[in-house]
Amino acid sequence: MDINQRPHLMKLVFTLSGVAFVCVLILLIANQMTHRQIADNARLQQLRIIDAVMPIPHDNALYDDTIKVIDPQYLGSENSVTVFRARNADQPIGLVLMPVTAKGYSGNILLTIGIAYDGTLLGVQVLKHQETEGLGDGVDQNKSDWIKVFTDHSIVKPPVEAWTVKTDGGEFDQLSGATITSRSVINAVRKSLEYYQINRDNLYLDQSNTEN
Amino acid sequence: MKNFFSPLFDKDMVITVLGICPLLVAATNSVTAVTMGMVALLSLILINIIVSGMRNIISYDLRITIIIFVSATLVNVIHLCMQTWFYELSLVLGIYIPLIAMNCLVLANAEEYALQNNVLNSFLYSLKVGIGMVFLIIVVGMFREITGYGTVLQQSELLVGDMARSWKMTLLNGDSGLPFFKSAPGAFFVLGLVIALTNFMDTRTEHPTSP
Repeated sequence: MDINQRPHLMKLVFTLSGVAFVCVLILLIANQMTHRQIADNARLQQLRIIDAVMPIPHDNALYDDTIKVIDPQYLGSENSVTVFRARNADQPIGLVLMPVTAKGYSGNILLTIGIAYDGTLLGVQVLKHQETEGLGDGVDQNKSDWIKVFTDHSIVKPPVEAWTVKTDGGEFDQLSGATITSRSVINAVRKSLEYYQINRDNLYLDQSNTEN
Repeated sequence: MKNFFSPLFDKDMVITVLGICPLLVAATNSVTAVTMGMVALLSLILINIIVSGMRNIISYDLRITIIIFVSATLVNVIHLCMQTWFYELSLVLGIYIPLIAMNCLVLANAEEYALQNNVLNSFLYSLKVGIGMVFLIIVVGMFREITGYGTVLQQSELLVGDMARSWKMTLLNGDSGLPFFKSAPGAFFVLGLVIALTNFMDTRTEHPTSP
């Protein structure tokens, strides 16, 4: 390297480090000032979704009465699922599973499912999805009302063989143009109801000894 | 045939179209369009001002790196602010806000104009470019909302608060909108229509006598 270039190079290194340092500093300060509020916002959003699928009045601290379970076969993912238990006068009245994973048309769809003690579905909400804009994104409760088709159903109503879209001879309307998405969400909801049926008594216990 | 495509060979036009495309994808209704446009306008102006203010310490070899540093930092700060004050709206817009950091309209403006001009001129220039961009995004967003959903001003509560829930007006009944316009290709289709319309009006004014 030409010896004359060295001062120039040093200047480049100096400028770049300086700018990078200032940028990092600004980002650190901005993050410091906002992260608490953002975490609160995220939690509020989550609580709103939990409330939406647990309409039955309860007197315990629903958000803190939780256990974590893992069941890839029924709940769709290797990751743990949080179970929020609702009780009234110490009697279990229902629970919320979050997040249950459905294999969507493009990537996973994360669902929150509320189930009453007797196994009736209280509601389903979508936490996160990447479905096609204008077609599959109708699963999102903010985009269409389709997700409400599940309310008041249970594993025996309709019978298991009718737990699919109408094109497959089932009971549920599909989202127009998004049969794969609808089928997968219906499947995921049915499986979590089956999971609930099998594990119901364990799910309301205090210890997290349900991880089988 | 070359004449027909001539706007696409014009360098400014290519940058504008490429720069505006990622912004348009997120603009599925008038509210997201306004937000997206405003955030992009704010980033464009601030990045131009900062780069222009730093132009004497930025050496030629480092100009791209430093512009990207500045724009990434700034857009990140804006994204953090959005998550603080408009959390749900930032969820709706998702990845498209952080993507502004690498928007070529923003980067090209900073490189081609702000590096050579003083702060005031850079500010005015980016304002001029940005307002045209915001206008285009809002036109496309509104068009897509009307044709895709059949509504006007849906989701405005995300931007203004709960009192805006009643602002939503339904023009077409139920699900009679065309899903194509809600999808990303629909945005490019609408942009194409807008470009065609401007070209048509340009030719009319340039050659008023031709049929």
